[in-house]
Amino acid sequence: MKPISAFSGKNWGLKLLALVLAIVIYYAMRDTLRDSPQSLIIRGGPADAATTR
Amino acid sequence: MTWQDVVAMAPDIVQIAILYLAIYAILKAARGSRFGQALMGIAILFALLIAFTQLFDFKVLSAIVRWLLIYLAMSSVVIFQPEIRRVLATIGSLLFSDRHSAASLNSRTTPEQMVAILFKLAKSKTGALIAFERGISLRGYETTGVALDALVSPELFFAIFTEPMPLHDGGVVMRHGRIASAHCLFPVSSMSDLSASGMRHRAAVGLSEETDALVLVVSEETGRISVAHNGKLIRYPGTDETSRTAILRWVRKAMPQQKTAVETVADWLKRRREKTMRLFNKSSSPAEEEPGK
Repeated sequence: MKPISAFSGKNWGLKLLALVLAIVIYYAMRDTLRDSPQSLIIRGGPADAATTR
Repeated sequence: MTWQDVVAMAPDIVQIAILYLAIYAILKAARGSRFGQALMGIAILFALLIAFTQLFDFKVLSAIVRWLLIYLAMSSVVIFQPEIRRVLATIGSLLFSDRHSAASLNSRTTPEQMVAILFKLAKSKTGALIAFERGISLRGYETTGVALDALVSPELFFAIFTEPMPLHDGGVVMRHGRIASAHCLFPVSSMSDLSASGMRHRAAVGLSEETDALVLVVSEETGRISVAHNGKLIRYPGTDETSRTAILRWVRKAMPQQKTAVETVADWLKRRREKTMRLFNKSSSPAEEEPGK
């Protein structure tokens, strides 16, 4: 696959599906990471507050 | 939206673009293949299971489905082993490829000559199996045969593939426009679509599943020419001009030719002359009818 062919040419249905999947996976993963305990410790969230109190 | 908002969104956009490229590459590679069908089946099954457990808020079942998903991700290495191997080999060949080396590009065998030989074999119904090495090395398969490193000629192909000859069984590996070896064993595909095909066609598909090689098959029963590429078999109906053009396009893809400056200019002049002649003929005889009408 030439990299440029992912942004131009035919197969618009497949490209749209790939884009929708990319957006959905990206935001789902970002939310999961945001809510994870490690993330809360790093950001000084409730878990961090509980351990340092 | 201010400039600062755009700058703040830039990492998101870049990450989504990278993810999109990866997903598009997987979808494109998977489309129409056995790998794609398996991937689609697994995706549908898990989407249904997750939707079902979420809908009724079955927490234990939901945890089991997630646990299964993790094990499936690990077992996919075994399930999709040939596909993963091919992708990794392609990446490796991109880094250490010699397919555009001087020897390859300056080989004196042209794709046209190669197609002419194929059609001669097809006309005489001489079964043949010819693999063109591309990015991924075929040396592993080559060692199973007899090394030749010979120039291409119709006589040599007939000498190899004619039935009582010792080298007729197995495939030929082509490298840099030369016959690297003959009598080679190729992996046999277990694809169910090929149940009606012979071992030669199965071997062609098998090799194309594991490597990026272009494999050409001449059927000894029908004299038809088939092309195996990326695990797919394309059969061409006969020895007509449409098949010839399509097969030539495939062979050109497998045998890149480098032209000298003189040849390039000569080609350009020839194309210009043909175009002018076509335009001239069209304008001089507008009412002329095609023969046979």
